[in-house]
Amino acid sequence: MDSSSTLISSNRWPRRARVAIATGATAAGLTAALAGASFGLQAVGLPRPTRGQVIAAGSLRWLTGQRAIESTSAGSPGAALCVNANVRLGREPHIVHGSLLLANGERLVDTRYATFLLRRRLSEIDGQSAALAAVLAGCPRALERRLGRLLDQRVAVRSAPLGRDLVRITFSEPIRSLSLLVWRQTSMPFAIRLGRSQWHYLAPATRQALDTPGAHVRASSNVIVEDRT
Amino acid sequence: MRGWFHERRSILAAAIVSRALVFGSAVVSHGLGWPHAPTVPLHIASTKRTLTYLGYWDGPWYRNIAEHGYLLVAGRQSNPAFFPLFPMLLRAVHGLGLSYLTDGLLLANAAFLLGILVFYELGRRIVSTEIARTAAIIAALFPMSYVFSMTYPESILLAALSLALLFAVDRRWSACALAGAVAALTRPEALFFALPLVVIAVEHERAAGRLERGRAIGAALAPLASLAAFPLYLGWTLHDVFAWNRAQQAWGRSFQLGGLARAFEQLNQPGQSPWLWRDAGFAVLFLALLAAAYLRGVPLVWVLAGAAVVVAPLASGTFISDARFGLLALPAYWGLALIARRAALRRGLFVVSAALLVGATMTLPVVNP
Repeated sequence: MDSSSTLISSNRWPRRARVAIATGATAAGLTAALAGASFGLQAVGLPRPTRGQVIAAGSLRWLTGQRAIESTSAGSPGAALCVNANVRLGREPHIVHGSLLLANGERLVDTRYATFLLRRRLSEIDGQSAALAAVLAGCPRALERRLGRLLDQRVAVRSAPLGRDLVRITFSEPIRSLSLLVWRQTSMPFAIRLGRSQWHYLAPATRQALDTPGAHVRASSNVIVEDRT
Repeated sequence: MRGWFHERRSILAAAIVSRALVFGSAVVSHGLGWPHAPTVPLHIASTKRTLTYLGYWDGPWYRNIAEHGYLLVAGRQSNPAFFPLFPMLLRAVHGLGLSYLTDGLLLANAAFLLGILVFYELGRRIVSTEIARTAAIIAALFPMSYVFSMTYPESILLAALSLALLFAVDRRWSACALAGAVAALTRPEALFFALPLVVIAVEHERAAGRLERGRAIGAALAPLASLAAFPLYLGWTLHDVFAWNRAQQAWGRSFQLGGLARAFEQLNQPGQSPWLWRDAGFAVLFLALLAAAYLRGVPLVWVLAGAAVVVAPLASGTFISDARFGLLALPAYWGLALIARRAALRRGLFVVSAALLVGATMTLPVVNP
């Protein structure tokens, strides 16, 4: 290779590089401008959910990952335990998702259709107050259902900070409005109440609590407690 | 101007007649109270208004986003599964004082008219004028094309996508980038047509100056950039960039490697809706028409983009709604037009297609398109 060809190639390379950089910069600039415009258009053109709705949605998501919750309240002598369960209703072949609630020496089974007292067999009881008991005990599925319905209906939610770590959210329902105290970091509900009732304090169930005899159910009862490991 | 209308009069006539058939069928369905079964509440839409059927199924979800914005409700069907452009337009037009149903119908049908005309212009640059005209008429009369008149974003996607591709073929890169970005905010299928955009941009690269070359590459990347802005927006507003994927799962769609096999398995599962076979049938039809388009000279890259529109949703494990998604496999219409070259065959195709369009519109109360 002679000296003239070396000179030509060394001159051409920077020019190619310049062209490539100019082309790349134009492409990147156009792409970034469009991405920014698309983002901005959405930010301006669509309403945003309130802070309370986003916190409530976070709590709902946390609940979907839970299998069992323990709850305590000032008005009750001991802790209540609620475990996810699958329930066969009557002679129906299919199984519905529900909750098994152990509280005050009784066993309640709550489903989206009805609530039952579990002794030897399932016997249906007044759904309204029993279903509310399941919500107050923090039964993941009962509380998920309630929160999901309120969020689906876009019921207004007020939120107020409580110290550094907690936030209080309250749904604006005409009767028995649902309030939650939620940990900011994890979205975990820390306490719950309906209307002016006592606060019920919630925590994921311990292994010890899950070994309670009441949490073991006979197969003939049509209730299958979900795997707790 | 008169010449312009004269050349396109058959396409405009097909567009208007097909919409008259769709609206007429919806009105007759509503008047007859069809179907006489207690299945109506499924659609969470009012049944009182005459054109209510055209606002069924996904329509209330778009309205929900326009009214309240996005919110991911874990474990339930929620609205981040739907793309943002259509609800943004609904919200903007709602400011004029019309109902959301009227807004949606006006937007969808105006976009359809524009989309069909632009699809014809695009076709003239890829196939012959006669084939482009036939393809545009077929697209207007296609049995599933009633979706273009519903409060759905498909007609806006048809218009935006056709415009993006037309601008690319005409080397108008900034306009192409804008239309591509709009298409990608409408539905994710827009991304597949980045493939022909890339090929056109690369082919153009050698001949162009550096600035134009950059614009061409930028235009090809525009749908991707715009698409990426949607999860970023969800991350900003819901603190979850994966909200779209999570919402899709709650709607029974999760994109996995074995999704295609699961989609075929689902066809034979007990208890599945027989309507699933409609979607599977249309998927096969679209793919056959794309193959016909390729064999008759439509460039491979266009055919591949069309095939991706039909096949990619199946990776979510179901054929559900593939008959609707495939409507945007644009080269399939060229394939059908290339098959129906003889005048008698073409006329027969138009008549059969129009009859099927009426029948398909009448199924709206019972099955999601």
